[in-house]
Amino acid sequence: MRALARKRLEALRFLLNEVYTLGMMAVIAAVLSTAMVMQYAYGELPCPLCLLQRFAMLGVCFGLMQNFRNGFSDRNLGYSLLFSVFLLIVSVRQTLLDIYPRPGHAYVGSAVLGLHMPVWSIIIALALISAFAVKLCVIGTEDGASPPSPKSAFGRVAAVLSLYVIALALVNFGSVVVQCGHGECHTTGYALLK
Amino acid sequence: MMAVIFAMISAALLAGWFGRRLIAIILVLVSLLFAVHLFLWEIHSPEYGFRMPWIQT
Repeated sequence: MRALARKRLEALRFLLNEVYTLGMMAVIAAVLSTAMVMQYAYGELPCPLCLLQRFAMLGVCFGLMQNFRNGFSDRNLGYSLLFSVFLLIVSVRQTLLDIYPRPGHAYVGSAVLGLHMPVWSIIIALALISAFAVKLCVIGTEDGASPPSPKSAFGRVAAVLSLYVIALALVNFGSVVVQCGHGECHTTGYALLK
Repeated sequence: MMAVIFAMISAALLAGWFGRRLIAIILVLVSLLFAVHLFLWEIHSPEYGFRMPWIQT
């Protein structure tokens, strides 16, 4: 009886881990999608540090995606944490650059709920690092756990979301090529369309 | 440089998807090194260096 309960609890822990990981990836994909809508629909071109923040979010997704492709591992968690810290450093520095109004320096883009993009990035980075900490506290490590079966409903959702993140990365790559060309990136226009 | 960084992270995600884990990890780590280099280059000012005198009180 006790062994059965323990087995069920372990199965619940695995499921919770998969749902948690997928949820984190979905949130990052939503943030990146919103940033791209702001860029293409409202013409708000990203600054170089904004692009590095997008890159960091894609890096976090890399670690999360690897869990679903090659099995859950603490190393994958490490990659995601590494990029979360990079996201925090870049966004804090950008916020400090623009925090004091002076000529030539202002927050890029429009505010969402009163906060500009780099400030949101700080919140996102802190939320990601906290989420990884909570995961380790509550669910624990899942090192060596198998990925969900590709035929299961959960496995299919994970595959679709992973492909969506890859598509976001490829669209961002194309967009960066058009915006920056061979030189520096500017928010005044697309370098290759001038 | 930015285009190279995004090309590498895209290639890393694709390599990871197709099961080329070692290539994916190499790509993602090299892209992070490039990104750190670009970040330091972006925030360095010929006038102030890495300092931020406008927030000194």
